[in-house]
Amino acid sequence: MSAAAEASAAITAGAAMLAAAVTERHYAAAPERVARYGEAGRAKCLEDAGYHLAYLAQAIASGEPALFRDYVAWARAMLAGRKVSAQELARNLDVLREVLSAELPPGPAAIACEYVEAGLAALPALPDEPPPCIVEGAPNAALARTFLDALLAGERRRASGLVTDALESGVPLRDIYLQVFQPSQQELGRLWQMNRISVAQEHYATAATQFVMSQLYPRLFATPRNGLTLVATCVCGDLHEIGVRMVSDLFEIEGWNTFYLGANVPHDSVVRTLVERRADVLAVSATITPHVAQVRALIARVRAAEGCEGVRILVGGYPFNLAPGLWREVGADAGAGDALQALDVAARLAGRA
Amino acid sequence: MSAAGRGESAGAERWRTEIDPVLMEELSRLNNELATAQRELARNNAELARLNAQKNALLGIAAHDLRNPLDVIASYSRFLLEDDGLAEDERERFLRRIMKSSEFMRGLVDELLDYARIEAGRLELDRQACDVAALVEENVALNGVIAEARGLRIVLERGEAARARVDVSKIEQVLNNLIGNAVKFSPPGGTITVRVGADGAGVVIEVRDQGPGIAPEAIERIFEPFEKGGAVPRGGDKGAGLGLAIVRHIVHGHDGRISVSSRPGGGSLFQIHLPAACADASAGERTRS
Repeated sequence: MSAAAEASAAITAGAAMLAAAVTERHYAAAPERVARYGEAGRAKCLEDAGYHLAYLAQAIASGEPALFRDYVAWARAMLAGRKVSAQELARNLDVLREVLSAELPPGPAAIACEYVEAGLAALPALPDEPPPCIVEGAPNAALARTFLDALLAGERRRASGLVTDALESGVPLRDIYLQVFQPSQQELGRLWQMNRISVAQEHYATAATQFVMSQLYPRLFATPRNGLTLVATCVCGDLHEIGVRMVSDLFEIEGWNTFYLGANVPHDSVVRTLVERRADVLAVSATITPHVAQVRALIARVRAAEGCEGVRILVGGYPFNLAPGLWREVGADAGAGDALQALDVAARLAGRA
Repeated sequence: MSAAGRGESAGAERWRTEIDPVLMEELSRLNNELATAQRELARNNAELARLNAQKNALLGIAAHDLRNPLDVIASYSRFLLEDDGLAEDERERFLRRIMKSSEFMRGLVDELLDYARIEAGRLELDRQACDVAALVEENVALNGVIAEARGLRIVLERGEAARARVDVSKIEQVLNNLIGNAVKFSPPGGTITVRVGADGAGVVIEVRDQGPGIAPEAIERIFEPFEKGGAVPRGGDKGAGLGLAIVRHIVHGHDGRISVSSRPGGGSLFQIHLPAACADASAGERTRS
């Protein structure tokens, strides 16, 4: 086992104990926090420490400090929206470093501390607000904004009507996915991160977007076929599976036969579908860094499966965008930064480009 | 704003209160499952529409492609029956036309029956370990006679030993179709190159022709039933457009893969990959695909 793998495994194995120690020290350092945040705050602190450790372990396993640095950036913006300062986060990460140094064997501790220090060093320059995902002046940005506004107002029928009208007026289906659904979903995530919308609103808007997408399926499956087959799945929370669903739909628009399996499907089911459907490409998406290990395990299972020898594997999702070499490390044939790139790369993998 | 819209807006306000996160997650999961089911339903509807179009194409074939040779047979039979004064060579010419039309119809009906069997899931494979390269060589020799009569040359390139567990008659059907197509579509003086070998994972067969090629918009549908790829075969050899669909089913039935690359005016290359043979497999095995 490599030193990095050993460090990652040590953090994962001791995550519960380490998270408890971080929370204990964080509160011991400033007892007034108990009065300020209460027991609920303490529980949140414990939960956050668990997240720190999960991201840290995966970043180390992948050999990618950028994965942890980006997590720190995400956490800063998320906490800023909830009135927790960057200094408070810095103190918490400092405590994390102290605990890792004290509780892990010297080798793993040194590696883990290096990653945490890189995150701490980047923290002061990071913004409290991530940039908007619907960019003024971008194609169909006004439609994306109105669509999202309708969803946030709870008006799914109006949102659906906006999309139908746009299609009737000649906006291509592909543009609806790439320029309306995709940026509005990303913006939705940003608004939640900044605490501008509730979790319930985020859930509703996502479900309503799926409702609008499902109304487009008759158009989607009527496009001419190109003889290629894609099986798609994701290793992610159920709320975040809409991204890979959109990618599957875009492949369908481009003429691929696509079989979208949903989130967190057992590996054997993925293999069975690949064999039954004679898939050319398997697309696997991971939404957050701690899921990378499951992507790696799924790929290993597919590689070992009889009947999957010709299947090429494409990975995508946030962690793969942050660490451009990560696709190779997890055993995939390629990685794609976005849906459009995924189409090009998959066509190349299938020998069509 | 519509009444429904106003109702939904009021609902949005209510979300600002606390909602059980476990319940919300479960609702999200249910919604995802519903969306996935809707997607499958839409796919199946599209598939049913495709099958309906195939059924209509089949009716079209019955109406046109079978009716024309039937008319030929009926007309020439009538001449033979009603005209006692026909010269011997003319009688023979008429009989040959009747025979050619009958053979064409039989070929068409065979293709339709083959395809119907496959569509009904009744493609039975009697797989035996065999030397695929030898099969290819035999087929090249058979088609070589027809090719030569048309001023064409078939070149065989044999690589490493190529053994696989295949249904011999079905793979012969595949080879005959691909090499036969190459002969049909190649201009006189052209060369057809057939390659067979092993690539570590199995057997690779390639058939390259110097025919008119396939247009990009047609290449994506070339293995679909009733697709004829746009080009017209030399010598008027027509079929139902099922040959390549049958070929693909047979290759897939062997857990293999088939692909084509082509460009207009630049010929076509069909590639087949069949998984490797079990070296110790001597007994036959019947599978249904």
